Amino acid sequence: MEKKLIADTAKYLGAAKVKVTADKNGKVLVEAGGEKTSGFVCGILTLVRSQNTSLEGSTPLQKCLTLDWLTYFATHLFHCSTHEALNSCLQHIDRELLSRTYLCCHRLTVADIVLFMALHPFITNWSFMQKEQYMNISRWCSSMQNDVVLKKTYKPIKFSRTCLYEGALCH
Amino acid sequence: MKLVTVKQDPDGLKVLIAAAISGNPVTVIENKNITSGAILEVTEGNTVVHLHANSAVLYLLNNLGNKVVEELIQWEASELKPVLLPYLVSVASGREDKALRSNLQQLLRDLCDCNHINAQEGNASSIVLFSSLLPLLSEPCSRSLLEEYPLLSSLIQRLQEIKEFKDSVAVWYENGITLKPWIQQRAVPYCQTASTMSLLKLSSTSPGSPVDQAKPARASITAKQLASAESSWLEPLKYYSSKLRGKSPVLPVVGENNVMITSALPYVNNVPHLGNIIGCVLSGDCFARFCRLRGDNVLYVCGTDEYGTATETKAIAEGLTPQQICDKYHAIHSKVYEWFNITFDYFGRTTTEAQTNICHDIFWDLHKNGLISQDSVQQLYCGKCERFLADRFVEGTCPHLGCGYEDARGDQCDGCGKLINAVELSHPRCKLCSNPPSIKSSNHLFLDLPKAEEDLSNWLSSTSNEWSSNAKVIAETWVRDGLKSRCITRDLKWGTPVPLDGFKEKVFYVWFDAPIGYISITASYTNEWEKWWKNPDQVKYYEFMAKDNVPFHSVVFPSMLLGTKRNWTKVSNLMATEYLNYEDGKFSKSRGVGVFGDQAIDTGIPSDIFRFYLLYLRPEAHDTAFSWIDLQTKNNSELLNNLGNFVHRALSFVLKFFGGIVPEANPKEADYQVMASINLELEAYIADLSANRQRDGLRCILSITRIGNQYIQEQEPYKLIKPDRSTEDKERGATVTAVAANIVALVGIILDPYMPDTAKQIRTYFNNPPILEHLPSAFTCFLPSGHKIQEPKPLITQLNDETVKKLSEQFSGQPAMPKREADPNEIVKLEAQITEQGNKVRQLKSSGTAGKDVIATEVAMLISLKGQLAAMKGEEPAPAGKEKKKKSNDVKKTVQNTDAPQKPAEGTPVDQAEVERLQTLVTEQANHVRELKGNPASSKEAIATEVAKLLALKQQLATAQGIDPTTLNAKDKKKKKK
Repeated sequence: MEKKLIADTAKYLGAAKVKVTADKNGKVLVEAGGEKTSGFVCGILTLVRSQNTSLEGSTPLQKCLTLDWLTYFATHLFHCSTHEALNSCLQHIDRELLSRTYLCCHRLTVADIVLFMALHPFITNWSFMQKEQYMNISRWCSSMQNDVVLKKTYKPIKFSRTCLYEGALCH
Repeated sequence: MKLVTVKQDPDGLKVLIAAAISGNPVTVIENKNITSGAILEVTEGNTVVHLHANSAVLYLLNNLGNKVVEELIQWEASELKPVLLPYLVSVASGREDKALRSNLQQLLRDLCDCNHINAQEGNASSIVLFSSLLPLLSEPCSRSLLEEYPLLSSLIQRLQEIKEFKDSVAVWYENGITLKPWIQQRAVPYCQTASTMSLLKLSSTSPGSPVDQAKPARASITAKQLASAESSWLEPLKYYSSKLRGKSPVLPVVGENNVMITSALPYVNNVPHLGNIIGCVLSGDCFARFCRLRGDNVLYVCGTDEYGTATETKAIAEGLTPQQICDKYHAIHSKVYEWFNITFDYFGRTTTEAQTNICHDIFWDLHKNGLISQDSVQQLYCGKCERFLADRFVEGTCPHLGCGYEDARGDQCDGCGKLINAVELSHPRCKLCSNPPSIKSSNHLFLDLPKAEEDLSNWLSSTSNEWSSNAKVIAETWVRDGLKSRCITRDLKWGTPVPLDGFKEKVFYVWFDAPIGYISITASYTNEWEKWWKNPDQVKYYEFMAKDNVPFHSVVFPSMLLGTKRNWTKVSNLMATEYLNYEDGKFSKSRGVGVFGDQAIDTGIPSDIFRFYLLYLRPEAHDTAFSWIDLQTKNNSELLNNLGNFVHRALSFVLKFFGGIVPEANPKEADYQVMASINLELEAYIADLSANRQRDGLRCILSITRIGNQYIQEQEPYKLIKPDRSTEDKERGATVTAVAANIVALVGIILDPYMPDTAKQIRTYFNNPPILEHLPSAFTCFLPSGHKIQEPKPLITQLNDETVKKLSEQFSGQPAMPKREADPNEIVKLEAQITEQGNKVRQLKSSGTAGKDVIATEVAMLISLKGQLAAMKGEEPAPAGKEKKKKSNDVKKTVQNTDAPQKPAEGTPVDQAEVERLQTLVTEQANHVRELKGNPASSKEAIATEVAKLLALKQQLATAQGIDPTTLNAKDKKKKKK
């Protein structure tokens, strides 16, 4: 999963000549511009720093938050063995998105890009009830999918503006 | 900055050291629910962000961008931790896991091989590694492991010499380094080999209904929770069996949890609708049942509120005496609540001697303490009926600017919803005879609330913390705006008489004596009522109501009790709901919109389903709406597919595979996992119901059955017990079946506050063991192996589209009122009167000499007679409009009358011709009214009559167009005024 997402992110950033390899334990190695970086978090950060520094965040806090999210993805979100585990990750993300536009406050960062690419295949299959259950993720997703670059690759997902399921929020 | 952490967790230590080095002070907040060890809360601008320990350290030390540091930190989180934490868990339990030990050795070797660690002293990565590895020193076996790597142990030693490290460690591990306090709180770390992507394939192959997919997450379970699930299962439940049970009357007992519950007294003049039911009695019952399960000593009383103007008007409309009306409706109310399984200890009424006595006692106390004052009040007096026209006995034009609604009532305008002082009405008319009343002054008694204000606000601030938030806000607003004296007497006949000389022909205003009804109804239940009502130290008193009743219960009633200076039991928990709407609008008896108690009985749907759905929708934070389609969905998905299905499957296994005998269970970790997640839900259920978050409590039950379904799905006991399986598998199958049956038993207990009949049914399947009458604190083995069960029958019936469609049409506002029995003689008599009056009117009209106002009076009389007849026949008195329309045709002589009543059933296409015809009529009539109003010579009565005609026409037009007539009326008016 990490390998694919790094490759997709590289494509998104327009980074040329990026080689991503993974060993048998799933540990990834990124080679870009002759520089080798191991691990998902550092791999993504290297790509961002070489291609589009603004996507790492502007303040030190935002940058740390980007790293925090990437770590969270690599240690939690990407390794769910059950739907329950995935749901509890989603609940966490949904809660964090409650009071902000993007994962790192009000600025688009690479963490959003990665999350969008990771969740898109799932959200596409969500019922409206699930979309309502993860209302903040849905709101975030519906604004993310209008990103000029993401738009080209990812099929638009429909969201309902009105609440259809009374009480779905309780869970 | 705030550090939220579990004491002694190494992640907390990381942040602490980093904070010390960077000189940023952090406040430590302990929170056992943090499963990720530590979270640093940082505020930037006005957003609060949460950083996990590693990124927090990077942030505090500003080491970001240093690739070597970042890689080491990443390694710690994604490689080291997933091995280190399970290893430490095994060490803490005293059984070191050798496989994990060798994995860890490999990792630490890698770490030593990397050249960077020595050069990093005092920066982010050294802090992270130091804190992570430090717990290895706690036990001899893990310490020996660390000592295999001199490079690492010397690094740790050196770091420990640095002041900031040393100080922080001393603070964090006051009594030496230990594992137990924190390691059990940790969520099990992720599985490196699992990939979330594989779930995508899973979900696409398993069909699963949308509800299954939306199931709540089984929260991650900590080792501690797992251990406590195991011990609760093994230990038999100790339940508190009270000897007080079943004793009547219920009285408070010292040392018991004495709970008195009342729900707002339903007003007697109408059948309660579903909104009334959920607002007070059903919410109260759900709580009362929960308290009884919990073993509390519970008294739940309620009754009908029978005095007041509305009873009198209703009595006149139905041609009965007020007492007859009360008797009739009290019986209807009792029947409805009985059907809904409301477990009142006593359901009384306010027209009793006890009511009068207690009301008088309270009044004299207040009088003695100087809280009663006198004042003269200007009131409308109808000379013809010889009575003062209180509140609803008078109608007129709304005096509020921009409204001008013609049919405003004496206390409130239905057009704009504002409150009205009856004397302010323009063009007032008596509701009984339509004559204009005159203004007369009359002496009245007032409750001097400002004098009680100080006591009240002291009391409020000490009690209102546990109230529902809307109740608290409403009470606070009232007190903040300053209390005013309130008139407590009325010039009526139907009420509690006022005992003071000079006022003896008056009665108390319903709002003075209605809350006293709670006391008097208790007094009718037991002579020892004072044990409940003058015992605030030992009784917890809960009141349930809708938000409109809050001011009287939170301000007026407590002020009265405080004003007596006696030790009354006052409300300790006031639980108010918002409103329940019906489909898109409001419940309306007069328009036949919505389901009323007696009609719910006739639907054929069991009361449990109504209880379930109403409690599921309970308007706790905002208004909610009853919808038939939604009821169907909830019934078929939540109840049938989830709850009903689980109960039936689990019990069928016991019956089919084990001959109806619960088999022996030997649970393993997977089973304890399930029990632990059930315990979490059960804890939430108890917490929710104790705080009257009844919606949430219900969702906990549904989560438990969902977990149960999933458990069966995953374990597949029906495969395990097949004859060709190994003995081990068969034992496993028996365990799963037994655990599932026990989950059903739990559901049979905790479902009782919501669906008592269903819960009872489930307990019957188990032959009603006494253990199932008590709320357990944790999931346990309710049914020992060998316990016999009965054959289960389907619990829930599916609701099909056809039924739901039929019901939603039936209650959508068509006058399909069931006819009530009426005395045929009375009908004949009334009909004769109507014919006579009709002839009189016709004569008057044709004579040409009679004045307009004379005709109008006679016409009004005729209409009132017809209204009575209609009411007696069980119809709505609306057909008066028909009469008016006919008259308007007579007057105009321009348009031909049509024979059929113009009320097309909803759903039938709108008759365009009819709409146009009515529109012309409305325009003409409106012009006529304007002419009359513009002409100073025309009398008020004449205008009123013509306006009434106009209104009737508009209503017909609205019905013909398929629009809700009331909303249209109000809107129309407003538009005109602008």
